[in-house]
Formats: sequence, C-alpha cells, structure tokens
Amino acid sequence: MTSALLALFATVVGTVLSCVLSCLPGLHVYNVMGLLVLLIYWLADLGITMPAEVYLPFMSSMIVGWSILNTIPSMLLGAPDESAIFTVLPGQKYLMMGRGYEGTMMTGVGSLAGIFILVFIVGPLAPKLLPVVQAVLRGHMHWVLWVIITYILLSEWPKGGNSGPAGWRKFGDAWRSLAAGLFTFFISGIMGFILLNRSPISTEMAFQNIMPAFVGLFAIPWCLLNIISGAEVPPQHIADSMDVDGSVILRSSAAGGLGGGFAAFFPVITGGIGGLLAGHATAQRDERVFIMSQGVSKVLYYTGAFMLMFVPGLGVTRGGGAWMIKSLHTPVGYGDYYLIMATIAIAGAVSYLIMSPLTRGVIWLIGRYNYRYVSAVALAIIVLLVYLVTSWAGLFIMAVGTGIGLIPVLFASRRLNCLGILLLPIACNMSGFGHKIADLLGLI
Amino acid sequence: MKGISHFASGVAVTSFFPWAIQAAQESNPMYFILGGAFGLLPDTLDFKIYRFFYKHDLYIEPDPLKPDPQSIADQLAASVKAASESKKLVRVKCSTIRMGADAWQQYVIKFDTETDEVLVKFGPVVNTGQVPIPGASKMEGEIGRAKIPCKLFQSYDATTRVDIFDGPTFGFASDGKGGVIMHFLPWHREWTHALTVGLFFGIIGTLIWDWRAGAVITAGYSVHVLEDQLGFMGSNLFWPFTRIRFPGLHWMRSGDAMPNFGTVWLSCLIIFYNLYRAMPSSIYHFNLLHVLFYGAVVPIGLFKLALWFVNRGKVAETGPIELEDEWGDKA
Amino acid sequence: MTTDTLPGHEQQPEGITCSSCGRFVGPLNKCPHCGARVNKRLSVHVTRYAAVLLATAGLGLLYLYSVNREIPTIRIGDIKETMNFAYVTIEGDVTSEPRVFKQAGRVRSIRFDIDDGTGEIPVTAYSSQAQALVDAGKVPRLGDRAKISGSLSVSADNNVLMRLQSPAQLTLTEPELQVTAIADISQDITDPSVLIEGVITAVREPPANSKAPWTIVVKDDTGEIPVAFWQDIHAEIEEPHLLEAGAKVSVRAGIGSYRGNLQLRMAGGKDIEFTGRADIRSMVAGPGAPVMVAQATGPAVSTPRYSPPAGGRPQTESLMLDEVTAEKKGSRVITEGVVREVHDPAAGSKAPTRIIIEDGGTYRMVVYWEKVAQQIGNNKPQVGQRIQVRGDVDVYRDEVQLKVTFPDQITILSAAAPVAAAQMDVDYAGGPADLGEAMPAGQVTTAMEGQVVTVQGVLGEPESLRSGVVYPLTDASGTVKIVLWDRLVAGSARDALDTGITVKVRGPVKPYQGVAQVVPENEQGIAVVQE
Repeated sequence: MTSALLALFATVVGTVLSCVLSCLPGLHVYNVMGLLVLLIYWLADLGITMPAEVYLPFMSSMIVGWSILNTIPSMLLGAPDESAIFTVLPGQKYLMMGRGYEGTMMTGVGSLAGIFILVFIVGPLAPKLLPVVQAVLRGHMHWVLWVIITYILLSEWPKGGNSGPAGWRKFGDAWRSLAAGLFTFFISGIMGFILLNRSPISTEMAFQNIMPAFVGLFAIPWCLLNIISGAEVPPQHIADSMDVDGSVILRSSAAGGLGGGFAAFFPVITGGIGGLLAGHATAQRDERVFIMSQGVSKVLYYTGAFMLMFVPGLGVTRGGGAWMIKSLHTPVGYGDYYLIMATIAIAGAVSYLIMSPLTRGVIWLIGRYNYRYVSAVALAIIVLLVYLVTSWAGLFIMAVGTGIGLIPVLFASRRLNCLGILLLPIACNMSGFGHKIADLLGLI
Repeated sequence: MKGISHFASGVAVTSFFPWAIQAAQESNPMYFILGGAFGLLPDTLDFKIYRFFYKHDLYIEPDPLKPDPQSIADQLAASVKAASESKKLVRVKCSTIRMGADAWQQYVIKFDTETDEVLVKFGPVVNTGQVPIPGASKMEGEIGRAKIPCKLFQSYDATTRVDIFDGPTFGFASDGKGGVIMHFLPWHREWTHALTVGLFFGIIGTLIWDWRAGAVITAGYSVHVLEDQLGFMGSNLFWPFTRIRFPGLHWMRSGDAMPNFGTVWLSCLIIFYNLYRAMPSSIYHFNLLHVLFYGAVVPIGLFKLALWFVNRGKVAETGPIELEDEWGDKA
Repeated sequence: MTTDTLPGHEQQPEGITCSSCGRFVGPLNKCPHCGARVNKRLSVHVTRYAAVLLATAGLGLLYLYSVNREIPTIRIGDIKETMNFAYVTIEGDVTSEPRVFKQAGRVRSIRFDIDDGTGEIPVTAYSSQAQALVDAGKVPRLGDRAKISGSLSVSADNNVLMRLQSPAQLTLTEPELQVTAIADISQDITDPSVLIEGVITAVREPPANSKAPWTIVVKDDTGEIPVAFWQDIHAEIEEPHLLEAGAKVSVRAGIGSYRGNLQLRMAGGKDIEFTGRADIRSMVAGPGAPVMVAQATGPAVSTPRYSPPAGGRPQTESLMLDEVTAEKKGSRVITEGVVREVHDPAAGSKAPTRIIIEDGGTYRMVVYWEKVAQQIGNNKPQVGQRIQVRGDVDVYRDEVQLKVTFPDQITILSAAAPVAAAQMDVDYAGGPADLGEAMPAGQVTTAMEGQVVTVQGVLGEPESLRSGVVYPLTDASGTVKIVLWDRLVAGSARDALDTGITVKVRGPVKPYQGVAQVVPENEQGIAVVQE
C-alpha cells in the first residue's frame, strides 16, 4: 500500500513537473529525463538507491504530461510568417484566427482520446496481439524502414511550378523544395553516420549522443524562427465550447491512433512519420480532425512507445524514454505493466485537467510578454541544457544540426527530412551494410 | 487513388513473390523498395515531372486584383470553339487565384452539356486546407456564363473546382463529327499509366538487376494502373498502341477516404500474412481468414458502428468532389 | 499592394506582394505576373542560403573533427550505465569459444566473450557482419587476443553487450602457444587452449546424415587424446584429405571433457596443421611409446619440435594457507581454509566475488568473476564450510589473494557441503536416464507453468538471445523451445549441443510470449542421447 501511495505521489509530481517543461518551446522531455537519469546514478554512487516505484511512475508521468501539454507551446508559440507560406499548419491557422485556446483544447481532447485508447484498448490487447505481430515482423523491420524512407522521399509534393509556361524553369521552380528536402535528408543521414560511429560526445555521456543533434535539427530552428518571425499573434479568444462532435473525435482517434501506434511499434519511426502516413492513408481533410489527431498521435507515440517496454512477453524497447529507463530497470511481469498503465491513466487525467488553466496562463503570458522573449528564454535554457549534458562538443553538434534544421523551414520542404539522421544510418545498419557506408566515409 | 494506397499496394504485391521475402530475410530490402517505388511511379512521373513540361495552348490566369468569372468562361468557350474548328487538341490551363499566404479564391467550372454552356462560379476565399475564410470573399456567388458553339462530350465530372496550389488542365479535341470531347487533366494517366510502360520498366529492371526485380517492377507498376481504373478518369492502358484513356469503372473517387484507407489497410494485412507464411517455423498458427477477421472486420466494423452511433439522426454531409487529389500531400 | 486584406493577415509584413503590380508573390523574388523584382526582408533571404552554407560547412567540420579523433579505448570495469550507445574500443582475451548461430545455412550471429582483466562482456556480431567474419576466417578462437571497436549496449543490472559494427574493427592476435605434451593436459590447465603436436592414430568420421562431430585421436610420445570438432569445422580444413591415420599434425584446441573423459575441442579449420606423415604401424605401442624415427617422414617425428618446459607445465604446489604469501605471486597453489566471509559484488558491478578463508588464524582472499560465479550457481561456498582452493596467487592492493578461473578449482570439503563445485564443469552429471521419463514435447503447454518436465527430441536451428540461446526441440508430438541461459548453463555444456543431435532436457516450464518453454536450471538438466 505504501508503495502504491508512493507511486501515486510520484505520478502527480511528475505530471506537475511536466507542466513546466511543456510550456518551454523546444524543450523535450527526453532532455530532462536524461538529466534525471544522471541524478539517479549520482545518488546511487552516494549509496542512495531510488526505488523503481518512485522513478518509474515519475518518469512515465512526465512523458504522459509532456506528450499532452506540449501542444500548448506548439500551438501558441508558433506564429507563421511568410517563410511558412506553404506550410501553414491548421494549428497555426487557428492561432492567427484568435482561436488558439480552442485549438489547444481540441488537441487536448485528442490526447485524452489517446489515453483512453492506450488504457482501454491497447492495454488489454497488447500482451495478446503484439507478441504475435512482433514474432512475424521481427526479421523484416529493416525493409519496412526502407520502404517508409522511400515513401517519405517520393511522396513530397512539389511546392512551386504552379504558374508560367511549361519547361525547365517551371520544373526547376517546382523541384527547388524537393531538392532541398532530399539534400536535407541525405545531409542529416551523413550526420547520423558520423554520430553513430564517431560521436565527439564523451563516452561517459554516450546515452545522449543524438540529443544535441535533435535539439539542433528541430528545437533551435523553431525557437529562432519564432524570434525572427515578422508575424504578430492576434488576441486570443477563450472559448467555452469546441467545434467538435463525436464523429470528429472518432475519426481523429482512428487517424491519430493508427499514426501514433505505427510510430510507437516500429523502431526509429517517429510520431511525425506515423502522422504523415496515417494522414495520407485515412485521407482526412477536415482541419479539426487534423488538429485532434495530432493530440491522439502524440500521446500514442510517446506514451505508447514507452508502454511497449512493459508489455509482458513482448520484449521491445521503443523511444528515447524507454531506452533511458532500460538502463535503470528491467520490467518484470504484469506488476510493472499495471503500474505503468495506472500511471498513464492518472497522469493523463491530471494533465488534461491542468491543460485549460495552463493554456490560459500561457495566453496571458504571451499577451503580457512578447512571445519572442519567451522563445528566447526557452532557447537559452535548451542551449544550457545541451552544454551541461554534452559539453562543447554537444554545442558544436547542435550548431551543425541547426544549420541543417533550417533548410527545410526556409525552403518549404518537409522538416521530417531531418529524420534522415536516424533513418538512414539505422536502416543501413539493419540491412547489414551500414559499416560499408561508414567505411566509405572514412569513419571506421 | 492516393499515392500511399498505390505505394502500399505495390509493396503488398511484392510480398507475394517468394524471392522478395527470402531476400528480405537475408537483409536485402531491394525488392520491396522497388515494389513500393514503382507502385507510386506513374503518379510521380505525372505530378512531379511530366506536368511541368506539358505545353498548353492557353493559360487562363485570372487577375487576383480583378478576378472576373465571365472572362474565364469566355476563354474556355473560345477554346472549345478553336478545337472544333481546327480539329486539333486544344490544351487549356486554368490557374489558381492566390490571394495571400494562405488564401485562395475558389472558383468552380461547369460544362453544362444540356444547355451547351460553360459556367464559372466564384466561391469563397479558402485557406490551403480548402476551408473558407469567413468574410474574405467579395466575389462569392458571381457567375460567368458563355455559350459553347458545339456539342461537348466529357469523360469526367461535370464540375471542376479550382482553388489551391495548381489548377486543372482541360484538353478539347474534335470528335470529327462536329462535336468536341473534353479530356480532364490530359497530361495525367496518359502514357505513364499504361501496362505496357510497366512491362517496359520491368525489362529495364531485368537488365539492371535480374528478372525477379523486373517481375516486381512490372507487378507494382501494373497494380497502380489497374487500381486507377476503378475510378472515373481511367487510364491509357496500352500506350503507345492506344491513344486515349479507357474510361474508368466509376467505383470510387481518387480522394475518397474509405477506399484509400481500405486499400492501405488491406495491403498491410496481406503483407503481414505473406510474411507469416514465409516464416520457417512459427509458434503461432493462424490463416488468412483469421487475419482479415481480427485485423479488418472487427476493428472497422466497430469503428463504423461507433460512427453510426454518434452520427445517428444527422444528415450526411456531401463534400465537394476532389478532382486532383491523388497525391495527398497538399495540406 | 492588395487592398483586400484577409482576416488574420492585417499585420503581415510587406514583401509578400509585388510592389509593382500589387499581386501576391509569396516567397518569390520575381513577380510571376509582371516580372518585377520583389524586395524581401533580409532575414529570410539571407538565412535561407546561410543555412545551407552553415549546414554543409558545419557537417564538414564535424566530419573532420570526428575522423581525427581516436575511438576511445576503455576498460570493461569502467563501463557505466551512461555509456549506452558509446562507440569504444576494448582490448582483451577471448574467454569463450565463439558460438556461430546459423539459420537456413546463413550465419545469423556470432557471439563470444572478452575479458580485459577488469571484467568480461559478451561481444556479438549480427547478420552480414557475422557472415563477413566467417568468410574472412576472422572468427575469434578461445584464447585469442582481440582488439574490438563497437557500440555498447548497457541495460539495467549492468547487462552489457558490445556490438561489433564492422568486421574491419576486429583485430585478432593469436597467443604464442608452447607445445604441450599430451600427458600434461589436464583440467588444471587454466589456459583457454593448448597446442599439441603428434600423429593421428584414428579418425572417426560421423555417419552420413548425422550431426555428430568428427573425432581424431592424436598421439605424441607422452600419450594420446581425442580431438573433436563439428562438421562445419571439418569443411573449413584446407586439406581434409590429409585427415587420416598417420598424418602428423599440429593442433590448437580447447580443453574439455566428454562423459568424464578428457577431450580437446578444435574451434576452427585452421587450428589443425599437417606437418608430415608417420607410419601408423609404429604407433600401436600405446601411450608413451616412442615414435619410430626411422619409419617416420618429416622432421617433426625425428626431432620433436616442441621443447616442453622442465617438468612440463608449472606444477601446482600444495601449501598451507599461511604459506600462501606475496612471494608466491604468479604460481599456482592448492590450499584449504574455512569460509569466513562471502562478499557478492553489488548489482551491476564488475567486481569479483570475494571469499575470505581462514586457516590457523591466517586469512586469505579468494576471488572469482562473474563467469565463474554463474557456473558455480547455487553451489557457492557458504560461511563455515571448509573448502579447498586451487588458484593463482596474486597481490592486489598489497593484499595476497587467490584467483580462481574455473569453478572446479573450488572444492567444498565440509560434510554439509552442497554439490561440490568441482562437479560443475563436467559435461553432464548423469546420463539421459537420470533425467526421468520424457513427456511428449507437443504436450508442454503454458498451463504447466512452473512444473518440472523432461522432454526428448532433436534440436533445431538455435537462435541467439542476449544472454543465452534457444533451441527448438522436436519429437513426434511437436516442438517445444529449450532456453539455455548463460547464467544457468555453462558454456561448455551449451557448446556441446548443436542442430540435429538428440537430447533429453529437464527443467521447469516457463511461458514466454504465450508460448511454453523448458528452461533447464543447470547443465545437469541436459543430456545428449545421440549425436
């Protein structure tokens, strides 16, 4: 009973901590988890052992809370300016229409639906079904990854070439963004090869090898663009209701659930890729479905991937959070599984309840302080974090990542192409010729 | 169909080839990549290459400052007339009207074969998600109307909506009897959507790799062409031996959610079952019916039931027809 | 400039419309409508290309920085949890016979252990890397010195594994072995492998369609010993036709035993070298008989190439505990004492198990590492038991200690002693009959969880696990999986198993992923019925 109360307490504290983390744009929960893991090792060296009943619920509730509440900065602190001309996302449209609060809460409803899917559908079925799926697909993950890479590269829509006479100029205009996308993918892939084979990060901190690169590829460009953005956020309306109904929730749950679930189960596939595939596959055009499905997908991806580690009989580790926990704890049987499920349910409920006041708070904050300042503060925190964990080498990697991460933003290609950093080297490794490429690059 | 449906179908067809699975088990993903890539290739060729080189006889580019539906209607009618008189194919491109970073003036073109008129009606200003921007359109409802000087026959939809990104192309060709046949997007599903081209790529693949790769390429390519034949537009199946598109079966529209999702999901299940069949020894035992029942009938049935439950009593909304929705990456 | 400002766009900056014709141009630098140049705000225009430049130059610098750094060399004992994914180099000795896992004729993985003196970790090469190692003849052998670069996988409980990413990053150095006289070969030899020279007196070829190993009997002027090797190793021998009675050979092999008899095990085709030919008729005099120089061909017979050290291998000295002093460092001794303290290493630590023994007021520490601890299992000496220790004297932090490298070097002498550790390293404690009546494999179900069952059948293709190996065992009724965990079943017992041989296995049923598995708790739970 004491350990149950301890777990409950840790869950609530972890969720509340995730509130703070979530409001900082660009700050990823895994960055903070990395620090916490270091703290646990440090305490162990001092002879203080933290029980699994504390750090498991604490960290899993952080992941749950972050995956739900991180919608707030992504919705409210990402005003698009003209550079985002071809890629204005539905959430950003809501913001520019003064409906940022409504959009955030709609995503929150999606997240809540995601938690329901995890607890009431995935939870009971996973131990029965997923081991079968895993047994069949185990030897085939590598080509699934290649096939997905192929689709990502082939499916990008040319943005441009819509006017003017036929010919090479029109073709070149259309292919500028495509070429930038391909360039981004391959240059990210080369960076991945370097980091996986010859990372300059100290071996003592090798478990955070990729973190500075990810921060550079995704978080820093976002913060920078927020800071230099020419757009102003209009006043936001705090709505009492949302423009959704049961049908929208169901369709969002299906689309987001498929995308997030797919990403959670397959190695290296991220939520963004899962969302892209599910979006295409379910052919949803309703912006409300898009916004809500983002909430579902995010929760399924982050929380679901973490949960898979604890599914009895499955034995897979997916997602950065699970990999970090794996060095601390080996899941055993249904006890751990129920603990994680309980944590997910409680943290999900608490997070959703926190969402409305937190969103209002952030709206108040960006009304009082220019959101560029908020982004600047977040940028400073992220950079400091990278330095603390990975030192100067990490900052260097982060800077290179930033350069690559800005290319798709500025050339209007998919930011997803930055995931070449993992997709390319890992797919090559899984197919058994990664070492030949690394050898060709002079890395080994 | 959308790109992902064709892609998934290509991969699914590949999974029927034993050598593809055997190669995959030996860490060689090539056949599956070829299957997926060539499943998507016909549209890739059309949408990413060919259309930019396709020459038009007339570009209708409405002025964003003074958009005029009558002018568009007049130009279209004139094009029909030119085709009738010249006995040649007249290709007309209707450009979109971009009003801002995320704003497009929507207009709908209708060829009314009963009254022999072409109508152009301005709709709302929409964003890139094709959602109307309230209060943005000052032209909504304005109609341009022009008389078509001859009988017009059309193989595709009667109305065409023009709003985001690229506009449609019409090809007007004389039927030799005084009438004009309208071809929608004449650059699309032309030579690229031919079974013969799939065979050609298969031969190329055989020369580059081996006959197995050739078989996978031909199969992936062909399944795309055949799937498209289920829709309205059809394809020119045996180019260069045939010159025009064979009419589609009209079973579905390219942007419809269920056929697309159904194709992708069914492909996934087929791939899964084929991989299971190829396992040297398995501790689990099931058959295709099990896979289809538990993988498709139960979940989709439950979803449909839930959807019916939340929608009961509501009138189903019929959205506009998506004419150029095969890529699926526009929003 | 358009006058129709859209909702939400009131505050959008200039530069997205043409200053000449007022139409929307977005990010284009040239108006597509009137052809006029459109001035953009500097930020977007500049950063767009600066990003490409920065990315390319930065990546180039990162590349140069990385390739000019040496892959860090670390000690196994220094591996920490935060080193997960670290790409490092480790130098050490191969301490287990590498296991090559094949499926459908293809090499799936290779696994061996490496010890650098501070600890021991398994090294694994998968799929193409493993196949490349086999193709290049770079499969390590027991006792080789290896320098390996690869990525570490560290999970909870300090479960460490190194993944070899490139075959080029494995450098092997064969130990310079002195030739050992066959008479000197015993379980006491701590070296992982020995080199013998002699003449083949018998060759036992496995029957057709059998998975049984080849056995040759090698005789020198001190005795004879069987040398066993699997059929795939036979296929690696460059001149297999020379493998016949009378051939003079030089053989490198590990020491093991089979059904209580000493046996050498050859791990690779290159471990046998044909050096000439002797007349088999001269070899029938039995162990110790001199080789007839006149009838032998080749120099090896007339003049033995090896020069055994005086007295053969260093003799094990029997000493009282107080005689085990620092001066004896490097020598092997046998001594006795009563266990006073047993210190297990902390979870996740690479430290050894330390046992303090006492005799006549003298205390000495006995140390052994994880691998030995695993093999000893539940038969670990307990406080109060009297034990005999055969170990190498060492001095660590000014303290004399006895290092034990095999489980049979500790023998529990007291009456209440559990099963003697000395019995642990033999292949199989009993015959198949000792394992009880076998039940049909197909009837082993998850409902029998926890029940101890015995099954008998033919082993299928093994599958490598992180810390063990799984064999499907098939009999007429079906198939059940047999899981052999490293920590429970000694490597020597696992190495004796292979696809196609018939075994009897006894162990509790443990369900995994909804499937029943039989998990022997030690090597006594496995018996080879037919090879």
